[in-house]
Amino acid sequence: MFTKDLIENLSCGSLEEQFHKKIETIQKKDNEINSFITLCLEDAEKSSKIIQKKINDGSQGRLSGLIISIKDNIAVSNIRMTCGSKALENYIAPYDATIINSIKKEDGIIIGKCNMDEFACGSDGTSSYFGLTKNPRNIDYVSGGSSSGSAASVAADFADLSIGSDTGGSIRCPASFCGVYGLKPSYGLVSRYGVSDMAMSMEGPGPFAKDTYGIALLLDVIAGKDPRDTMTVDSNNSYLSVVENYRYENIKNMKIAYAKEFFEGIDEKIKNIILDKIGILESQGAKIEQVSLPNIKYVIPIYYLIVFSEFSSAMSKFDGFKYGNYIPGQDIVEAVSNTRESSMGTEVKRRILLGTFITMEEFRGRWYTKALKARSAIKEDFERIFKTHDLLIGPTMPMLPPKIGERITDPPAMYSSDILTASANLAGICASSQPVGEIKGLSVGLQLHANSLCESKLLKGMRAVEIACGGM
Amino acid sequence: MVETIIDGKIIERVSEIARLRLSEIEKEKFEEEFERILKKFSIIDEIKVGEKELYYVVDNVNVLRKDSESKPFNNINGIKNNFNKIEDEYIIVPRNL
Repeated sequence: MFTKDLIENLSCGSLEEQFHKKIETIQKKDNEINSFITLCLEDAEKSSKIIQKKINDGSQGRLSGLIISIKDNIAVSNIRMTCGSKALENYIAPYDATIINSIKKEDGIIIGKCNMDEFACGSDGTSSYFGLTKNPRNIDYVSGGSSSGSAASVAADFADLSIGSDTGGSIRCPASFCGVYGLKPSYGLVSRYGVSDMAMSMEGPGPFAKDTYGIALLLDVIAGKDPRDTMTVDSNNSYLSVVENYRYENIKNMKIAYAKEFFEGIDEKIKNIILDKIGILESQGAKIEQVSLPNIKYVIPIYYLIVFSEFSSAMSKFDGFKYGNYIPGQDIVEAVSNTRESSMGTEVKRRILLGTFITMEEFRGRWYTKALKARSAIKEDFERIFKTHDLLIGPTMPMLPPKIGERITDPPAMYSSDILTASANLAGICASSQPVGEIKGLSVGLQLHANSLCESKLLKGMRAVEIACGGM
Repeated sequence: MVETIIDGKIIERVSEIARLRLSEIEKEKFEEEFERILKKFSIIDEIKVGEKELYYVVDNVNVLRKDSESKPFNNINGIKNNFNKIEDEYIIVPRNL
C-alpha cells in the first residue's frame, strides 16, 4: 500500500528531505499545471521541523508528516482563502476550519491552498479567477472540477493527500479525470465548519489520495461530530483498520448492484473498462446484480434547481463591506451591485440570478418546492437498492476529460456532465471514484456508492476494486 | 410545460433583487439561456410529487445543544484586518437614506 509505505519511509528517513523534494517538484511543474493559488511554504517548513522531532521520539500523530493540500474554499488560519474568486482575492481566513484543526493535530503538513472553479461552480476546473488547472496526466486536457487543484496536486505528486469538497461530484469528477482516489463522505459525517458554503444541503469536504489506504487514513482524521456543525454525527469507526483488515476473500460476501441507466449514453470505451472490472469482481466471487434507477433522468434538473436556490442565498453575504473586493457607489445598493458585478464570473452570476428567480414568491412553488419534493424520489431509489445490496457500481464520468479550449460552454450541456455523480449528493449517501484504466493516456474512474454512513462498506468495495486492478 | 415566461422585465427585476448589476449584453444572454435551461428542467413535472413530503437531509429534528459559556474568539484582529473601510471600531458603508 503506497501511502502506508510512505509513512513508514517518513518514520525512518528525513522528513525535511521529503519536504524539500516536494517543493522542488512544485516549483518545477506547478507554473504549468496551476494547482495552487497560495502556497504556505514557510509555515509548512516550520511544521516539518516540529514533526521531525516528534517522529524522532515516536510521538507523531496519525498523519506523521504527510504533505497535504487544501481546496481554497476551506479556512486555514492566517492564510489567504479565495474560493477561486476575485471577490475574495485578498481575504485572509481568521480561523481554522474544524477539519484543518484535526489535520494539524494529527501532524499533517499543509503545503498550500488549491485552485478550484470559482465558488465551486463548475465541473472542469476552468472557471477560476486564478486561471485554469491543467491535467497532470496530459496538460492539453482539463483537470475536472470543482476541486481541480486538489486532484491535480495529488496526481502531480505535489501533495500526498488533499482535501476537496463535493456538492454534485466536485471531488469525484477531478479524481476521475486526474487518475487519483477521491471520496465524497455521507452528509453529516464530516464537519463543514470553516467551509465556504455553496449548497448547504448537499455539500461536504472529503479526501483525495493515491490509494484506498490514504483515503481511509484522512477520513479517520476528519470524520466525526463537531458541535460547530449541528448536522454532524458521531463516527466511532476506524476506517483505516477496515482497509488494513480487508482480505481478498471478503469479496465473496459482497452484494454489488449496477444500474443500467448509469451506462446509457456514456463513452463506449469507458463503458467497456467499467464492465470489464465488474466482470473481474464477479469472477472473484462478488454477487453482481442489475438494478434500475428510474429517476436518474430527473437528477440534473432537481440538483441544479436546489443548487441555484441555496447558492444564491449563500452568496448574499458577499457585499464587499466586511471583507473581499469592494467597488464604491452612491448608496448601499449601488455599492453592493457594483461590487458583485465586478468580482464575480459568469457562471457564478448565472447561478445567483437563476436561484433568485426560482425562489421568488410567485415562482417558488413551480420550481424550488417541486425540486425539493422530487428529491425524495431519488432518495427512495437508493434506499430500495441498499436494502438488498452493499454497493452500487458504475462509471464516475460519462466522458473522458475534454481538451482545453474544446470544452462545452452551453449551460444545459455543461450541467449534464454531473449526471452520474449528483444523485449521491441529493440522497446524502457516500460515493467514491478511483482510477481503473486508461484510454490514450487519459484516466477512467470507477464510482462506488454506499448507503448513508456506510463508509466502511464503501472502503471495502474500494479496496476490492483496487486489488482487482492489481493494486497492492 | 413552462408557464414561466422569462423576459427583459423579469431579468431586470431579478438583477435588482440579487443586487447584481448586469450589462445589456449579459441581460440578453441570460434571458435567452434561462428560458432554455428552465424549459429543459420542466421535465421534473413528470414526477408525481403531489403526496410527497418536502425533503429533509437528515431525519433528526431540532438538534438542540446545551447552553454553554461562550468562549472568546482569539483572533479579532484577523477579522478586522479584512474590513475594507474602518473608522475606530466601525465599518464605513455608503449612505442608505
